[in-house]
Amino acid sequence: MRVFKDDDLIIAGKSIKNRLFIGTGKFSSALVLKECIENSKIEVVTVALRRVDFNGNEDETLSVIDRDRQILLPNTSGARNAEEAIRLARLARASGCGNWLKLEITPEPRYLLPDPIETLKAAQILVKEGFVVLPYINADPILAKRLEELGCATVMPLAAPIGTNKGIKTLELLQIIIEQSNIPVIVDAGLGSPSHACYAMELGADAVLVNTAIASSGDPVSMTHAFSVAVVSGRLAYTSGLANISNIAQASSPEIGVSF
Amino acid sequence: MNLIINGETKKIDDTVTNVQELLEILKLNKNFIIVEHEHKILSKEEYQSTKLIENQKLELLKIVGGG
Repeated sequence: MRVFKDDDLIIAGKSIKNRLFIGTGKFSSALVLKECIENSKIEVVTVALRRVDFNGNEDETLSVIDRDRQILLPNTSGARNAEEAIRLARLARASGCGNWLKLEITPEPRYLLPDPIETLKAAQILVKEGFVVLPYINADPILAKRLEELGCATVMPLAAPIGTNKGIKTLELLQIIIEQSNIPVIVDAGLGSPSHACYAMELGADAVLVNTAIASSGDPVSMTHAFSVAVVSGRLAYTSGLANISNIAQASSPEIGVSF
Repeated sequence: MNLIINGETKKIDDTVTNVQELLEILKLNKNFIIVEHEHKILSKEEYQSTKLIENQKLELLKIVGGG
């Protein structure tokens, strides 16, 4: 088999081989999460920031992440406006998580859709403060451009609302974002199965971020692997150049020399 | 002494005088905790020198799993 080299994804100078990023929420245990990460050689993982729980519900997520092998991507989940997101970002950095940030501002809980205006406002400030900002956005090509222009490291448009597992419902707009973007495009949210992830990569996404579809599956370790190979497959298909689509049949066998 | 920790009033032993001692009495590993004291984020080096006074507000946060 040919070995494909030099196809690393570069974000803020970091070279990333595995284009499947995973979220660490909803796992049944930290040990399961650890096995998912190690078995599939996951390199980028998101985490969240919450109040200490004095009722003894320990969350061991951080203890199973190997900081030499994984890049931590703290999110600002729970933030409803720019001010709250900026506070969470600064707290995350103070925690020693580094300066990467998944900027996520969701003012309403029913669909958890990202607020474009507050996201733009927060990104402007956080980029100036030296954060590597990866904003979670709706699949809005103009917003993606604006975020690129102000110095975001990537854009993370959604496929469908968070945790819905519906797959790519924003196809046409995602394609425009991918076509126009000069920074990596990471499809985030709503990818429910490996085929969805593969399709996103075939379209030219630079990476995908998956959480619920893995953590809530029957066997998260196997499912991480399934997503991981799907992402590789989709990426290879994209870099190989997909053949054209035609409305009429194109014979695969020679049309001359048929024996009747 | 009463402190408002994560939005709730908590009675803390009067022997506790600074943030470092507070984390010890609450059995929290300071390497995994982020402290916001009166709306100011503290660096770990500031835990010892940050004195606690009645009714001050603290937020104690940690990294958890999230997407």
